[in-house]
Amino acid sequence: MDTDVVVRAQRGDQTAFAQLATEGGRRMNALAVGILRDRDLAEDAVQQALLSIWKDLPQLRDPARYESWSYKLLVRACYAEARKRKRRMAEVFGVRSREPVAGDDIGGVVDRDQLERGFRRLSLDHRAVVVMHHYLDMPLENVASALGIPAGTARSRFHRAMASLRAALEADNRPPSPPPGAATNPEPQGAK
Amino acid sequence: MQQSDPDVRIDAWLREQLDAVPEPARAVAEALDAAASTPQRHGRLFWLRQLLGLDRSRIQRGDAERPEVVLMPGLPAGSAGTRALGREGAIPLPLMLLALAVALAIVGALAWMTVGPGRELIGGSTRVGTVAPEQPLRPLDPPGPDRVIAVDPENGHFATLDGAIAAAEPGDRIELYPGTYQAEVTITDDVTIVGVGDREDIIVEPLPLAEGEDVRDRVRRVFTLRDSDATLQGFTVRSSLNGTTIVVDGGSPQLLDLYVDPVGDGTMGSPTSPREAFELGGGTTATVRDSLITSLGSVFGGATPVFERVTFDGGCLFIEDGGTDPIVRDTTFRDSRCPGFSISAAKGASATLEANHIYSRPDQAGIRAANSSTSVAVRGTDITGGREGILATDGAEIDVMTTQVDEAQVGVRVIDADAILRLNRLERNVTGLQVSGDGYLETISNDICDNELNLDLADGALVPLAQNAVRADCRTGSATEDGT
Repeated sequence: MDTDVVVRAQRGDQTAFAQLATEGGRRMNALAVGILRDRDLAEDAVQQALLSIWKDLPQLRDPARYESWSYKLLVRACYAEARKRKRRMAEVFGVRSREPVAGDDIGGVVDRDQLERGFRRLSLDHRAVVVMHHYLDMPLENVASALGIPAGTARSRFHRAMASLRAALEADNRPPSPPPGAATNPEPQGAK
Repeated sequence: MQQSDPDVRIDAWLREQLDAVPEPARAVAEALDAAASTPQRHGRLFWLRQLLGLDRSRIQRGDAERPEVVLMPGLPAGSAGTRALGREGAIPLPLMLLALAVALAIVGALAWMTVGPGRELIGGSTRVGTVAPEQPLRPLDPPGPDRVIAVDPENGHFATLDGAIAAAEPGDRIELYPGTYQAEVTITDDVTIVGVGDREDIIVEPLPLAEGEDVRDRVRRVFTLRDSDATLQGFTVRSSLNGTTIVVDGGSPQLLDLYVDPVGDGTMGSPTSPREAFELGGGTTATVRDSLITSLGSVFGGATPVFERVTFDGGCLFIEDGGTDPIVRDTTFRDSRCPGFSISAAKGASATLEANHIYSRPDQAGIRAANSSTSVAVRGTDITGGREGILATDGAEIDVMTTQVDEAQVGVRVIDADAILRLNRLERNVTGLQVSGDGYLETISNDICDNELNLDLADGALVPLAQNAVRADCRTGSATEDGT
């Protein structure tokens, strides 16, 4: 992000702010979708975050830190949106499944389904760390700084979240348990 | 993909998911609109840095080669306030102090003007969609009791609802004349907006899509009532776009004689992504009366609204959260398109349902209560059809009295839940009463008759039926089972 643009926006230049909002909008939206798992809520959060950015921008002491500072405001806005809308349509109507596209293999679809479920089970705190680290490629120290948490907490959240997602994938790889009462074969498969 | 390292798969999945996220065009556009009319929060340090030319980014990057023109706030370029600063940014101390004093005085004046008496810096009655106040087409009466503001493209004080709301004072009555009005408004005042004429001829709908904007990426709320005691009465509210048509957050508004049709064609849109007719949250004590709803309505967040004589035609009611406790009275639910229910209470909510009429589709429960601490009282209600007339599961409590359930797959189904059933009639269902799992059951003076199977009690279910009539034929009164 060009710090000159940030400085101009700090001084009230609407054009510069529009440039910041437009250039950073998609990444912000991706982060918000990643945290909230809902595009409508995410856009609301982005809108609120952008307005907060505009209002608080003059108080940003180091324009070079604009990006991580803006993510901090965005994560706050995501939390606020989630609080406002604890009940979500997805809970009422179930999660919309992604339609398979050409070239999808069965394993890929299953993976997505498992990961989606696993990801939704994570708290917002954990989702934020995973998305910022994995998708925005931010080092965990920077993630911690942006979220205003100790670096150790960020590492802990990240590892816990990843362990949970790995477990979601592994659960799918386990063979299904036999139905109650089904006959079991005492011999290992392939034994003669 | 499935055979690779889990972390790689997780990373690939996340990138695939988030790479597909579109530009937040709506959010950016609205944020820019709002920013245009919202002052920035300038701290004293900001003005000091501006005054001294201490641009931190340039200092850190060592990029102070070129002189920087610093415009002192409030002074025009070229005046004594404009200084060309060199690398060191040196300013004589007396001049700096003088400039600082001037700057602080200006900041103080600006702050007073911005947040002076009677003004709000942020929030308040934000009216989305109106950039500048609209001028009335004809003079308004001075503010006072019983003032009326007419909205009519030809003869009104305003041609748009936005303009009228922006001009309205608490207590004003805004009269909407037949026509279609595009608006997305947040109301915090206690105004009355009332349609004059047939409600189907007076339509309020969201602002149109911008060029190139995709309907699926747009969230619009036609009315947001925040801590307001406003009245909306006698018109149609619809939305052909994503979002919730009416959002109520706190307050005690009145929603009377409305036709709320979120999609605009009497449907609720895609079953997997329905449009909500309304959300009542934030502890609101709203009243919804004599209205027609064609989609989902949600009550949550400690809201305690009252619904009276409402018709949910294809719509349904979703109630959630502890402290949420609506009363639904004399209301009709017909052919709910919500998957699984006409009325659902969950997650600790309470609800009182009195004298309602529910006509369910075969795959739905008329009334569904789930989760511990969820408590539903049903009184004097007729339920026809459906998979279950009433379904209680997972520790919920239902107290059903003077209610009739017929033509359902199961009249009342209780699974691991508590139920008190008194003076009810379960007839002409496939199964009258079905109980399984643990839970407290109290049944007194119910008439369970003419069902293909009157009772279906799982092993171990403790069902005291001594004081009930369990009969094969309701008309003849012949009893083949007496429940003893």
